Amino acid sequence: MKHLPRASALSAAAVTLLALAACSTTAPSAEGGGGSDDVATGNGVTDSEITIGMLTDLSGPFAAGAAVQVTETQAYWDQVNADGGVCGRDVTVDVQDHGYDPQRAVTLYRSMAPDVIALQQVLGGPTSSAVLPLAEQDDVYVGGVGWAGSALAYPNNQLPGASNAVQAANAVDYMLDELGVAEGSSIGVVYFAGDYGGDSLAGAEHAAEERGVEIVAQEITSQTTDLSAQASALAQADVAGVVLAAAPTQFASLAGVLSSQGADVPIIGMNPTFNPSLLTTPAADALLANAYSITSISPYANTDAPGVQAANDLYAEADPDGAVGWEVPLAYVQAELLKQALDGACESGDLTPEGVVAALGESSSVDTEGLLPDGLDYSNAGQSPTTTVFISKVSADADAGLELLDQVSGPSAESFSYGG
Amino acid sequence: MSPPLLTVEHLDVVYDGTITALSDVSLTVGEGQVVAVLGSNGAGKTSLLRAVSRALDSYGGSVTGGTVRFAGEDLAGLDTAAVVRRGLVQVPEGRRVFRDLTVAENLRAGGYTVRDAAARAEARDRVFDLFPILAERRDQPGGLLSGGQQQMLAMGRALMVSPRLLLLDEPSLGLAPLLVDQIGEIVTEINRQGTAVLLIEQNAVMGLRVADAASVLEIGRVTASGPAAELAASDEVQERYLGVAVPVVATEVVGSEPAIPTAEPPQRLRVEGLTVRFGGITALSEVSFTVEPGTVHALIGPNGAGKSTLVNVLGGAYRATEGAVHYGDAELTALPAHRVAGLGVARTFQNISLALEDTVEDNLLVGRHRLMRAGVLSGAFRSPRARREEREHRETVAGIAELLGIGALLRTPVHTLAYGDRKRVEMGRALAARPSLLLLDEPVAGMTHGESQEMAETIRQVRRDLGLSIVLVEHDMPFVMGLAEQVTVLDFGKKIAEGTPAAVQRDPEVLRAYLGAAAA
Amino acid sequence: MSYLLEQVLNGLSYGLVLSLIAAGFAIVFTSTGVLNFAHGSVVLLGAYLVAVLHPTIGFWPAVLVGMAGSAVTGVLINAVLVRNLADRKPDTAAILMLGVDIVLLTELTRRIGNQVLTLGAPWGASVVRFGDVSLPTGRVLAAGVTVVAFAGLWYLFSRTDLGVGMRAAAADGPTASLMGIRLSRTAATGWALAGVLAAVAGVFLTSFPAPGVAPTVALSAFAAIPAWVLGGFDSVPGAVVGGLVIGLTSALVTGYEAELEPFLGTGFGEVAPYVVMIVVLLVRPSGLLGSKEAVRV
Repeated sequence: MKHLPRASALSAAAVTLLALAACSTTAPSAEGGGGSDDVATGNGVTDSEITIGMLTDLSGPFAAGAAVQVTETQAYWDQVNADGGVCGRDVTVDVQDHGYDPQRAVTLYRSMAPDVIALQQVLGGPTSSAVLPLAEQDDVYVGGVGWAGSALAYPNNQLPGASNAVQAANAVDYMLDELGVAEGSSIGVVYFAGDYGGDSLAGAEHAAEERGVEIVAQEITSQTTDLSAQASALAQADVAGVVLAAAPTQFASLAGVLSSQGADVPIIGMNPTFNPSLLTTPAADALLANAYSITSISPYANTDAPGVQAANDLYAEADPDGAVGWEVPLAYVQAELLKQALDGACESGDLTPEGVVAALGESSSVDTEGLLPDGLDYSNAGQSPTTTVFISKVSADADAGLELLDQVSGPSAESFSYGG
Repeated sequence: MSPPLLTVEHLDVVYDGTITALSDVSLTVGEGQVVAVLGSNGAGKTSLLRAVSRALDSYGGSVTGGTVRFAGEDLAGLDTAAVVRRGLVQVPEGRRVFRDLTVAENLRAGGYTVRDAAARAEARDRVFDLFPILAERRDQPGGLLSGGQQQMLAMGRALMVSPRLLLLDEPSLGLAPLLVDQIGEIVTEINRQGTAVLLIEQNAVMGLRVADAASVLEIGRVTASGPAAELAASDEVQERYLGVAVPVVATEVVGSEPAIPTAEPPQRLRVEGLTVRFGGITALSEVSFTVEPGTVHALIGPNGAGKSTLVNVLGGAYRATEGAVHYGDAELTALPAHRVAGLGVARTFQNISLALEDTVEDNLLVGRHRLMRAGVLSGAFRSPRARREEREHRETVAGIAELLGIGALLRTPVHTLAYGDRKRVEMGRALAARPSLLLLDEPVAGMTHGESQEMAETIRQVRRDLGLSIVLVEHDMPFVMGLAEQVTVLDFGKKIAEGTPAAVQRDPEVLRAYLGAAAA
Repeated sequence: MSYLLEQVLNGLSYGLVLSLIAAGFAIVFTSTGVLNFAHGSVVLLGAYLVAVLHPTIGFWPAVLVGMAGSAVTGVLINAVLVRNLADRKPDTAAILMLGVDIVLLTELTRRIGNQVLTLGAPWGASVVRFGDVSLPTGRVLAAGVTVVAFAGLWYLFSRTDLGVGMRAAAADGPTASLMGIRLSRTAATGWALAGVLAAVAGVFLTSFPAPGVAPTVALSAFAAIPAWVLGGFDSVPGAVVGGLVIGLTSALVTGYEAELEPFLGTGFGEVAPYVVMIVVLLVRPSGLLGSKEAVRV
């Protein structure tokens, strides 16, 4: 993904058009502008335009992060369009706000479905759980619903990287392999009630069994902002490390309290648990000392990866004052994944919702220029597309506060399987 | 001569923009005077006080005409707090002490507007002088005081602002005669210490005794006014409010056949050794008496004597701790409430409990419920049988309404009725069940003498025409004396006397415990 | 043993913070009869003001502004919305408050974004050690401040004219107004007091061991609702007792989750306060210290 100046983008588009016209075996119609070719089309596709949907939360609890993703997604597709679009067509994103309300998400999906070829994103656990089954019936691609294993049950869903269980299994592996946690010791798991936390706990429990450690589980909700009692209980159980499947508030509180109680143990947070603003809180020192983050997606500061660099540049141009964080590469790669699926559908001559889902199911080795681990396999329905995750250390020097340490795929992550 | 302390001129008060409560009311209270306003329920007495204390707003009322001047100043535009600061304070009806606040805190709240600590301490000392019992119980919650003490506290609370004019709303309501006398003396004493008093009273005897001047208010208008002594001597006031003109006539025992016979003839009601305890409190202790079929039997006694408890046992609402009540052969105390109704026993309540939005007829039909034979289904499908039955019920109810003098009001919603008529509707509802024994719980509470005389006539007629037994619970002594064949007197849960009204009236025990100083 | 003591102290100090919020619920309820479901976002507002202002004016002045801001917000909600309600029914007001909560929370969420704003509290992440038990300094301070706050409330309600007037107005508004007590003033005082308590609670809820101000703070304020209800809707002492009971319960259930798990399963710590509330209400329907008829009509 190169970033092209406007003039060259235009000429590239012209070349593509010429090439398409030249290669075409049937006589192209005389309609101007769009790519008219021999692909079958369906909902959301005209001769000149492809419409994709995005159900996000612009007025609810996730409004801030969602806005970053909307900006980046728009910028991505604008660039694609500038480079010639997909299958000779411009891609338009229909962004709707469900406000984290499942009822509204379903209504919006119903009214949107006839006019879109795929859903770029349905943000939020309860909202995506409500929409996924409907989209499966309609055979509509859905991306960007997070990493809960429960979403893998839907063949129309594309998970951006390793699922929560795989992340948590990797966290346990990493503690034993790299952070000096000994076999036979205890590892705490603090998790949100629900799909996200439940899936993470399952992965950690699987790894614990594989690796011979004990799990000390503590269930919390997003209302729990003070983890004193949980931290005391973990310290009392003498845990050698903690896996956290919660949110940034809980990450900071847990790290701070554990450190104040003298429990100097590593804490590994799952995907969305870190936020750069945590480094301004009183827990900053504790986080810098002991906190790690495991993500399915490359951290913002990993600019060695060309994909991340491209994503960051695009965002910096689209919104120079915007908040930076893990949402930037995430939105970019989600759009990239959808683009590859659309390209696949185009190639097989079936630019319909069903065609996109089929293209997704056939993609067994997807690369995203370092944004996600290479070789994502979406052909094995029901399983995580990869067992590889990014492990980062909280760092005051890195952009967005996370410094990439490694990409890992631990033994228990590899042996983990859903439904088995 | 300086202007009067309070001048009310041509005052009109309207509630909710439509309901007129007062029209063209004028009166004055001079410095150092006690002025009484007499009148029955709904005459507009309380509205008058609220207009003066500027408290109408919160009840949805407003002054639409006329003026209220206090010490020469027009009170229009001031709020209650401003009026209180000028030395005009109202004691609300029903005492309304702050039950969870201690006596001392109640007084403190009363003195809320007084910023000068010395003035406040002085006022409190004066209150404690006037009511030593309040000083004694200063740290107890107001809710623990007896009714009379609460009235004292309510007055003391108002005196905390050292008012120039005290507005008293029904200070004697619900108090035993002995206490009423005491309250009267206190009003006189407060007045003697330099506070003018505007007193609202239903109890005209008390009002006229303590007042220098009085006005009679009827349906929002002043119908008579003048010096108290003059009013007390007028025929109209004597007849309507003092009960002097109507001689007490003992009812002749009914021998004639009832005009509309009850479904079943009345039976003998025997109460034997009845004791009721609530927790550690004994409300009734070994009470026994007998009500002969077809008679009116009165239960009297001061507040808290156990009268209502007794009615509740007879109606099946309370269980007896010991003893038994038999109605004919059935043991009433062994039955649940709905079975008691099945025996032909019906009751009214002390506080009217009617469906206010419904018509008189609908309220009366509720009383027929027990006698409705058609099932829910045939009722729902309006089968011929159900329709015939419904017509019969409506005819019966109409007959009862006629008998009670509310026949013309059948289609009228209850909430528009006057107090006395509501009491009649309630009695009608009880009668609609065609009982052979009717329990009346304080049927004339809150009525003027004139109204209660009318009610007495109604009760006589009911008994005559329907041929049933009536148990009457009342603390209005003259009312009972003109109506009942037998009287049982209760005090502190015990029976202290029994006999004919004439005999009971002479019983020294009754005079001492119940009738108080006024009768002695 | 020291573990038990630590959990108990943790629970009690957290419970005291909850009781500040619960007392705010109770005071608004008694002074205006409103179930103030917007209280959670007022707590968040107080903390938010401190977080935003402390870099420029310093922590302590920011706390004062936060208290004032929450108090003024409460007074305005009452003056503009509650007093002008056409029908003065408690249920209508409660639903109105839910609406206010949504508006306030949405705006604060928009402003905070996905950040966790630090409060800049000078006690930072320090802890105080008593023997082998350690407690966050913020918690020790919270306990101290709360005790002082409740002593102040006790003094206000039993020793000052204003406080006695407020209780009188709560007990019987029309009668109190006949004594010259202006109900609009006692109501405004009640809302202001609740706002101040909310801001103080907000400061302690968002400083260490919690990391900072995030929108979820408004939700954690709702943890005070069982404390308020079980104390008895209309009782400030009840709110204190309720807060302590709830704080202790959740700390102990969480702290001994491993031991309790065979009976209760995991995650019971979050449910335990509500279970305690329901059990208490079954035994004492008007709460621990509430008056018999708490709901005013």
